[in-house]
Amino acid sequence: MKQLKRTIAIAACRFLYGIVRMAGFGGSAFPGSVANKIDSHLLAELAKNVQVVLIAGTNGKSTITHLIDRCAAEGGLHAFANLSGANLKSGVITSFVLNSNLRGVCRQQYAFIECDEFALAALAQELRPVGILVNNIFEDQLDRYGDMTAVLQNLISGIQSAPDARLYINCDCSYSVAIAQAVPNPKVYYGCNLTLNPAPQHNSFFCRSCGTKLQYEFHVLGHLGAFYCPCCGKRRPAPDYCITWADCREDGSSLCITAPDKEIALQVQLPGAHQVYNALAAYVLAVAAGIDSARACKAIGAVKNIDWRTEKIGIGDCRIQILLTKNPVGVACGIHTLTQTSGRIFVLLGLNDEAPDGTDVSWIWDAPYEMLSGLLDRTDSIYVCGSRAAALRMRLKYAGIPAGKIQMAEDDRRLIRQLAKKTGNVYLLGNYTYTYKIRALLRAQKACTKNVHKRRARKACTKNVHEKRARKKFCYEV
Amino acid sequence: MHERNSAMKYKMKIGRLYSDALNLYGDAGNAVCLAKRLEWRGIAAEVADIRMGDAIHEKEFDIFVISGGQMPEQGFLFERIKATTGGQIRDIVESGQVLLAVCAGYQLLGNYYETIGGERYPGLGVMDLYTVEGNNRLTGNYSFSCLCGGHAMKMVGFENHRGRTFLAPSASPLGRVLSGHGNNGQDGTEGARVNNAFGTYAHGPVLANNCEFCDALADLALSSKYAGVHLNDPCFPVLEDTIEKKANREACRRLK
Repeated sequence: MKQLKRTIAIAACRFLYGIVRMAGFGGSAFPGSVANKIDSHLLAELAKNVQVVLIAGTNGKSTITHLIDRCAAEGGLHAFANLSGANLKSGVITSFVLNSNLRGVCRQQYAFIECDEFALAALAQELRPVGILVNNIFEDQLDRYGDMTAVLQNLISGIQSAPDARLYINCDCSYSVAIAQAVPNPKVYYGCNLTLNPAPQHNSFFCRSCGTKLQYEFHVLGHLGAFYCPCCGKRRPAPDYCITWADCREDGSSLCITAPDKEIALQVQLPGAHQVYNALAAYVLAVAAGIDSARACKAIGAVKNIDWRTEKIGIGDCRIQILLTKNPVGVACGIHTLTQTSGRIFVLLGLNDEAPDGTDVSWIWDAPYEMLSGLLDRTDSIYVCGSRAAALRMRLKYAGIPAGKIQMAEDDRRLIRQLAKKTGNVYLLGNYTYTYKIRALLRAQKACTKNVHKRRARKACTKNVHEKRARKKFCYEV
Repeated sequence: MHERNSAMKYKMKIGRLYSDALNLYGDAGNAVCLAKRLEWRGIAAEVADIRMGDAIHEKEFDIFVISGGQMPEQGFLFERIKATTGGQIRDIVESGQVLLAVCAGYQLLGNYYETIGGERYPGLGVMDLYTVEGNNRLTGNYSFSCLCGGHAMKMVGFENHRGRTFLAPSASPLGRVLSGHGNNGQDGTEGARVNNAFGTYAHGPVLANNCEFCDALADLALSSKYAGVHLNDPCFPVLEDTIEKKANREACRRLK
């Protein structure tokens, strides 16, 4: 009976997933939620014989998941990952179902699962992970999470339900370290010994044990860095894996990782200094899963795009680089990436306030848009768009960006048609739903532009066209 | 009458109180808005951070702002400032200096904050109100009406608080809730006002979303520093607020 229920749940999930795909939607959460309704123990059952690693943190989850997935493929691991970015329980169920047979036996040995900060507690209980990675905790979606303490509490209670899981912790993040130190699990620390982003940080942090303001030997980015408490002596733990040298450029970075037994040189093709952290995290997970170091480096170095989050799309002579920026530190990283570019650029800033973005857009006042003023002499226009474009437009006014540089784009489609005619580099810094939507439109425009070119070419070849044109009295000499 | 080019002789100083402990939810923008809108009128404006352990030289400042924040930092602040700079905050409010306190900063001005576990943090007691933590957070875009500088204003903001604030009968609210929750989701009040001290739950930041309110606060501070001088005097240019009004309308469209 149990088995029948499970098979029905799996079949329903697969069937719905197929329908959703055919209908042209990307969502993979809905089929999983239906399967969960039919069989509430489905996930625990599917994950029974799988070694699961959970990947959590405010920024970088999806990037790390994509990178480790490539590493696993390169290293010949039987593994899968929830690359769609559906990181709540229902999305994870879909991901497991797609990698299992109808009897409920998962075909893979490893699963690398990106998971939402608030979903970790529920997922850890069912998945019994062998590893949990916490990349960082930043101010993000506070309308949903409430405050940072709630986020920390949730992660801690999640980890407590998996007492054997090895923790992979960014030792530069005082929040992540506080989580790690609240639980007895075995730990691996990774960090960075360099300043990656000099943007000033708007908030300070307090020692979670004694309440004293933390001091820093150096900052890496945002509140990440070599923190220490001048009162109780609590400090950043020594990293087991550490970035000791990095050369970060707009189109990628070279870095040197000091591991317990050796030094590794790693190339990253993803734009932005903050990506070296994600590369390091993926490398640490790969080595822990037994993947050969050289293969992991090769796989990480080959990745150019992360889905729609960090993607380069060319339309005609216009190259559009998408950079997902969804919170203050994300904007700081995005704008810092722009400062590493050269030549003339267009900047597109998108802000939506739908549920996945957070309905509160107050955070834009914690983000350092003032940094854009350093780019103005080589920025042709800053386009502002999204459902809260007016709020962002106002923010730029108070950040001292001259009105003449800013254009409000009311209609995304028209904006994209405009961009497609331009020659040059466009950098799109948008939050979650805006980036997702605009990427779909960009793809459509790209396809459309290609078709138009093809059609034009075909037309030019046929006499027919010339005749028609002549008939319409277009003064053409054939 | 003041000459147009004489505006630069005016100087205003804005103090961001406890900016190291309370600094979440974008409220840092309030000081930015005040300073920019003064500067655009030709009034020199300076913003300075006053951190938790710092002494407050209250006479050096014209406007104070306190931002929203979270536990445990809020708790540290409650525990520490009563014995240190708390008395100066009382002086600021009693002498009629302008103070804007948002969310956690607003709760700090009350008599106490009681957590869900029954732990009670005594506040500064400059506003006759108290706050009790609820089970869930009151979150969302909201609006309230308020009377300030002789004008009735419709204010719009974003609230995100677990504390329910209740005013004593003698205390006067800042405004009445038009949509959303306000102080406690029950009695229809929002914020509180004592002299020129304003407490509110509105993020957004509140002075960015409601530039009239921003000017009203600046005007109060300006006229108390320079007797008889007001922001709408002919020596100050009238600001072009198309962008602000558009943002305000956009925020209003978000109201349920």
